[in-house]
Amino acid sequence: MRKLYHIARADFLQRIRSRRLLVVLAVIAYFGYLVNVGQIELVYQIGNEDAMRHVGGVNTAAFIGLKAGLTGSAVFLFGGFYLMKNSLRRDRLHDVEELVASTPITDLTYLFGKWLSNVALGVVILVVLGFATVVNHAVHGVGPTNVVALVKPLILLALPLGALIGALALVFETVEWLNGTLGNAVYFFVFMPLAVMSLAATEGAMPGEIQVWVKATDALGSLAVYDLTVDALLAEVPQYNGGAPSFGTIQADETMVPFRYDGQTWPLWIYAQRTALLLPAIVLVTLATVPFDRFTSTESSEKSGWVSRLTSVLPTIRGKSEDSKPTTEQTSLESMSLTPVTDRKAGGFGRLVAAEVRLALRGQPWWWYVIAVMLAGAPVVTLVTTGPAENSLTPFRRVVLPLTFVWPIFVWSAMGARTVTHRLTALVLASKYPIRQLFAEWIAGVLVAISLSSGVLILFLATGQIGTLIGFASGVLFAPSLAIAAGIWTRSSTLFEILYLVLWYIGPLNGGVVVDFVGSTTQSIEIGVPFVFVALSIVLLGMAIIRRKREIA
Amino acid sequence: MALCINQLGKQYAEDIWGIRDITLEMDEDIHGLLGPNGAGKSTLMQILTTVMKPTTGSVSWNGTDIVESPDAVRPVLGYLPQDFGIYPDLTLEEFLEYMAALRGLDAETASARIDELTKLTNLVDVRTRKLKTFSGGMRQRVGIAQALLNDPELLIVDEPTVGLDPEERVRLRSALSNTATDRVVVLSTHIVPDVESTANKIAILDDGRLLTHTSVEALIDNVAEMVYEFVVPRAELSTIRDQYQVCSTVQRSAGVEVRLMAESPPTEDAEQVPPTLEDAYLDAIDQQHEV
Repeated sequence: MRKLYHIARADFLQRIRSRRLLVVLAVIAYFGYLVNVGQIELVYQIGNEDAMRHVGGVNTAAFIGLKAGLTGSAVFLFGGFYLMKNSLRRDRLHDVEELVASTPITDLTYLFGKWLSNVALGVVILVVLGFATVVNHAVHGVGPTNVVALVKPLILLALPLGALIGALALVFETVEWLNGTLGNAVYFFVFMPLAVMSLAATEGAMPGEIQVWVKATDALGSLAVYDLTVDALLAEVPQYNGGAPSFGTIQADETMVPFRYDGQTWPLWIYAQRTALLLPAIVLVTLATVPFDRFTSTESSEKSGWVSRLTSVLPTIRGKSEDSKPTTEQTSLESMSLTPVTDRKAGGFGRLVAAEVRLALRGQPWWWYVIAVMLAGAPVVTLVTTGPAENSLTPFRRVVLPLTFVWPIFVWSAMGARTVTHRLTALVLASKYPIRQLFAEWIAGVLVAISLSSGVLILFLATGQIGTLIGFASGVLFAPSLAIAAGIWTRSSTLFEILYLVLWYIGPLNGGVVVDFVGSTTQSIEIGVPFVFVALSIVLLGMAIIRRKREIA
Repeated sequence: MALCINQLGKQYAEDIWGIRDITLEMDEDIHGLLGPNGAGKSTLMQILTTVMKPTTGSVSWNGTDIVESPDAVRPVLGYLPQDFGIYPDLTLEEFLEYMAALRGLDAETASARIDELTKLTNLVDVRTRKLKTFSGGMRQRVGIAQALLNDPELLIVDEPTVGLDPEERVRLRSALSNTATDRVVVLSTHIVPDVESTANKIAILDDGRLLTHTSVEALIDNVAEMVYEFVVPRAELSTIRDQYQVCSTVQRSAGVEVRLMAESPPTEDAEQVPPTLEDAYLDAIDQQHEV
C-alpha cells in the first residue's frame, strides 16, 4: 500500500504543480457559475420540434446539486480522458520510467498508483466544481444553500465516472497504437457515443419501465437524475409520458415551466449502479498490465508491427543492428580540413520547407499512407472512369471531403509542439531562422492538406464546382493554423486534437453549417463560413508567430 | 572576436539565483568553464546562446549587446546543449541538412560540411540510418556535428563528452582543439581532464558566482609546491581527510596512496609532486567553501 501511495502521490504532485491545470480549474469553476445562472440547463422537453416546451427545476440546492453532478460527469466524459492521459508519458518524458523499471515494484502496483493519481486529479476537479457550485448557489440560488445536497451528486454521479475514465486513459497509454492521436480519435468517436448510447433506449419510458441493462450502462448518471426528479416533474406536468431529461447549454426561455425539486432519499439502485462503475475501472487497470511494457520506451514505430517481425526473420534486410559500430577506419583528424563557411545568409527556405514536410510525413504507420493515397486517388479514379458526372459528387462532398480533412490530423497534431516533444527547442531558438522554421512548419502542414484533398479538388473543378474552392482554401489553411497555434502555446498536441475533432465532427461531418469550415454543405458556403475560417486561420498563424517572437525576444 | 559578459545575473525565484554578478571577457581561444553540478554553468550557457534572458547585466558579441539584439550572434553561433534531442525518424544526413538550412547555409556548403563533419565525428557509415537507431554516444556526436555545421565564430558546448567512450572522448577533445582556431569556444563541463586537454583559459563557477578566470598555467601555479603524495594505513584516512584537502586516493597493498594539498609536508615520507589542473580546481572550490 505504501508503494501504491507514493507512486500516486508523486505523479499527482507533478501534475497539480502545472500552470496549465490552473487554467483548467478556472474553467471548471466557471462551470460552477454557469450551472447556477441557467447557462447549463437540465430540462425535460415536451412536445415535438414544432411545439417544444421545456420543463425545468428552480434553482434549489437539491436541483443545482444534480446539475452540478451531471456537469462533473460531462466534464469527465468529454475532457477527463484528455486531462488524465499522459501519466505514463510523463515518466517517460522525465526519464523516471527507467528508474521505476529497475525497482522491484510490480506492474500492477505501478499502474494502480497511476490510476489513483488520475482519480485524485478527478477529485481536485470535483472539489473546485463543488466549491464554485456552493458559492454561486449562495449568491444566485433559491432557498437555503444546503452543502450536502449540492455536493452529494458530484461524489455519487461524477466521481465513479471519473474513476472509470481514468482507468480507460491508462489502458490507452499502455497500448502502443492507442497511445497517441489515433487513441484520442478512437475515444472521441467510439467511447463517447457508447457512453451516452443507452439514453436513446429511454425514449417514452418512465423510470420504472427502463430496463436494468440500460440503467446499468448509464455512464453519466442521467437516469439517476430522471428517477430522482420525475415525481416533482409529474406534480407540475401530470401528462408527461416519459423520457430522460436533456442536459447541456439548452436555450430555455421565459416560457419554461418550472417545477420544484427539494431533494429526496436516493434509491438504493443508484448507489449500486454508481459504485459498480468502479468494477470495470479496476478490471481495466488490471488488464492494462498485459500490454504494459515497463522496459521499453516505445518511440520507434519500426520496432513493432509486421515490418519488425519480418525483418527479425530476415535480419539481412534490416541491415546493421542498433549496437553495430561503424566499420570504416577513422579518419585522421590531422589530415582533415573543414570547408570554411563564408555565407550564413543563404536562406535555404525551400530546403527548410522540404525538411519540415519530411518531418511531418515520417513515422506514420503504413496503413496511414495507404488510406492517404486512397483519399487523394479515389476521386481522380472516379473522374477518369465515370467522367465529370454531377450525380457522383454527393458522396465525395459529404464523405470523402470531410475525411480528407481529418485524416492528416496525425500529421498536424505534432505541429507547434514538435521541437518541445523532441527536445530541440533550444537549438531552433538559437538558430538564425527560428521564425522561418515555424512558417516552414506551417507551410508543410498546408502542403499535406493540399496533397490529400487534391483528388477531391480536381474532381470538383472538373465538374465546374468553382464555389467549393473557398471551402478548400479554408480547410487547408485552418487545420494547420489551429495546430501550430495550439501546439506552440500549449506545448502539446492535445488541445488541437480536441478542438479540431469537435469542430470537424459538428461541421464537416454532420453538416453543422456554422462550423462547416470546408464547405461540405451548400449553406455554409452561401453564408460565408469558409471566409470566416480563412480569416481565423490568419489570426491563428499570427498568434503562433507572436509566441515564437516572445520565445526568442 | 570577443564575448563580453558584464555583471550577469539570472534569478529564478526570490532567493534563488542561477548565476550572479558574473563579469568575463572571452577572446579567440578555448575557454573551459568548470564548476560542480548546480554551479550555474548551464544557465550561463543558455544566456550566452540567447535561449534565456538574464535578470541583470549584459552580454555583448563584438560590441553588440546580444540580449537586446540576439540576431547579432545567432548566425555565427554553434551550440551543443547539455540536454538535447533529435528527430528520430530522420536520418543523420537529413537531420544535418535540416539544421544547416536553419543556420542559413547554402546547399553546396552544407553538403560539403556534412561530409566532413560526419567524418570528423566518425559517423560517416551511419549517415543514412535513422537517428532513432543511434546509441547515446552516437547521438552526442550528432550534437557535436550540428554545432560545427555553420563554422561558428562562437562555439558553445555544454558537457560535450557525456556518454562518449574513452576513445571517442579523446577524439572529441582533439577535434575541438583542431577546430578552435579563429573562434571563441566555450566548453562547459565538470570533467576536469576535458578542460585540461583542450582549454587554454579557465573560468571556475561555484554556487552561481565566478571564482576565477585565468590561464591554465596561472591556475596551476596557485598550488605549486603544495601537492603531496604518500601512503597511509587505511585506518588513518579519515583523520587525514579531516586535516587536509584530499585530491584523490588510490588503494595499494600497503594502505591507501593519498594525494593532498598542504602548505608543508604532512608526513616525513610525503613526496611533493607537480600539481595538476584538478588539484588547482579542487583548491579553488575548497577555498570558496571556506569563505
